[in-house]
Amino acid sequence: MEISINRLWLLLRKQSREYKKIYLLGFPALIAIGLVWLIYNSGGEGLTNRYLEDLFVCGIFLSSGLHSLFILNRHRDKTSSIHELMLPCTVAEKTCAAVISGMVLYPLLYIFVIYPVTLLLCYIDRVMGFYNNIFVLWDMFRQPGFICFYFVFQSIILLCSVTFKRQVILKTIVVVCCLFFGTLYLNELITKVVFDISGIAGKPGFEHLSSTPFTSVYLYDQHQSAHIKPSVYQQTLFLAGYYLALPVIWITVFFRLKEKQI
Amino acid sequence: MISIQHLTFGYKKSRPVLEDLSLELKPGHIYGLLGKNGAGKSSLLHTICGLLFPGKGTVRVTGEEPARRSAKLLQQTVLLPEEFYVPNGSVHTYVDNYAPFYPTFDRALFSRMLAEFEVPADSDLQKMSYGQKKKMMISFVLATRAKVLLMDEPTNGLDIPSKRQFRKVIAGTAAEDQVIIISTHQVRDLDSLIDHVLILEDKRIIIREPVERITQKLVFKQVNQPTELIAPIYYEGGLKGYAVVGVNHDEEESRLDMEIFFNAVLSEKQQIVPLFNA
Repeated sequence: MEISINRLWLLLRKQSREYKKIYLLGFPALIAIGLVWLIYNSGGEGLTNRYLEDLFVCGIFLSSGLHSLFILNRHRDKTSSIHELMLPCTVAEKTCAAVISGMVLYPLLYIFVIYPVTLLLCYIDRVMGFYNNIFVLWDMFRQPGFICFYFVFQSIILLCSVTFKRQVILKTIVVVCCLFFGTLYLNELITKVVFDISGIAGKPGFEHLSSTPFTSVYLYDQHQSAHIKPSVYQQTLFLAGYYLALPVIWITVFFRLKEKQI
Repeated sequence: MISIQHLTFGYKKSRPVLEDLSLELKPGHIYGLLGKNGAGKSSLLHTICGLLFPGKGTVRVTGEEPARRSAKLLQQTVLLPEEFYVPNGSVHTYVDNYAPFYPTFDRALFSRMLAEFEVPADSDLQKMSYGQKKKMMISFVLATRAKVLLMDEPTNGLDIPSKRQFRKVIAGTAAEDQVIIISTHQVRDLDSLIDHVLILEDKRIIIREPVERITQKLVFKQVNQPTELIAPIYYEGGLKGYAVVGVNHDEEESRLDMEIFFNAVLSEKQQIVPLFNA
């Protein structure tokens, strides 16, 4: 597996130059959409952290998904596929460039552009008399699952972009939805096995369960709720499972590209 | 340089486009690849550059398997497809982005060819006409100084002066260590350029001959009546009489008319092909 740092750099540079206009137009459009969303949803509370975090997360997932589908996918038609396949770089270099671009460079660019805007909005919010806490990015990244989930999401989109030839967006949405809801369903099943729910707080009868792989497990019934925090060991095990999925997906992308014909 | 042994390729296994095709191509020549629509010319070019993988048989280019798509081979094998993709940006941006991938890229030659084709270097690629884009791509492909140049219908979309310039730049840049394969239907545009003729028919190469050998074996004449040539193999009527192909019994000198030759081979295969296998 031959990888030249110089060619990798050339690939990333080429991509940023070719799509400079799209980046320059895309980010203001993203900010405008975000502002409209905030105006309609903020209500009388001003810009609470929850609103800003939702907006930030939705923005990064949606825009990076589109970025991976449109900018990294050069196999949409025969001419662009020929152009991409004939570029003198190894498949490993092309895979690495796509991974670095989608999973490192794009989120960094997003943070550098969007985060200052959210800080500015927080300031305007205060000027207007709302005293909400400043949106701290670190609070979001501190959640161990966030980055991991983002990487898995990006990797799946990358895999879809090199797997599907037609109706890539539709098929990718279906795959992402199936995986997302399938994972949630599996989480519940696993959680029920891992945690002794019936004995929680000595109160049997908690029927409804809400869980994500990395956060506390919430249990509800009509009048009460409780939550169990997974142990460090359990959390590490969950995370390891997700992180192990990443190289598997990337290797699959590598082989899909290697086998690609026009 | 290019060695193809018993190549079989098809988009569906049951319907091969190329079957048991063997071919050796040496550097220092410009090969004209001729064939009917759907004969498999583009498929052959795409197999040589690794865009398609052989079903059976082997393809080797400078000793390497193109299907492996090594960076080294891709630096030395360049394809100019009939329909091509051009990214956003100007000609300058294109060269700045893509030339560094080719270690032997000659920027001075590229600028010279652009000037010859009268393509402004600062123009936006998306705003250029198809012909201008093609001239830019031809200039780029030649400036890579790659060992293997594959061109699929390079003169399609070029105006008449540009076709002449195309011949001029190819003749001026072709090197002794290069193999150039030009697949074309516009044989009249290129018959002064091509020194070897490859005819693809019935899923294999039925003619692979240098121009001199063709004119040694066959004579090409323009006559008023086909009977003026003793035992013509093939003739085509036109406004100025008949273009006739006959066996060159008397070692007459004539100029190869590639279009007539191609038509003659296709319609009188049984008579012509054995002449070259003898």
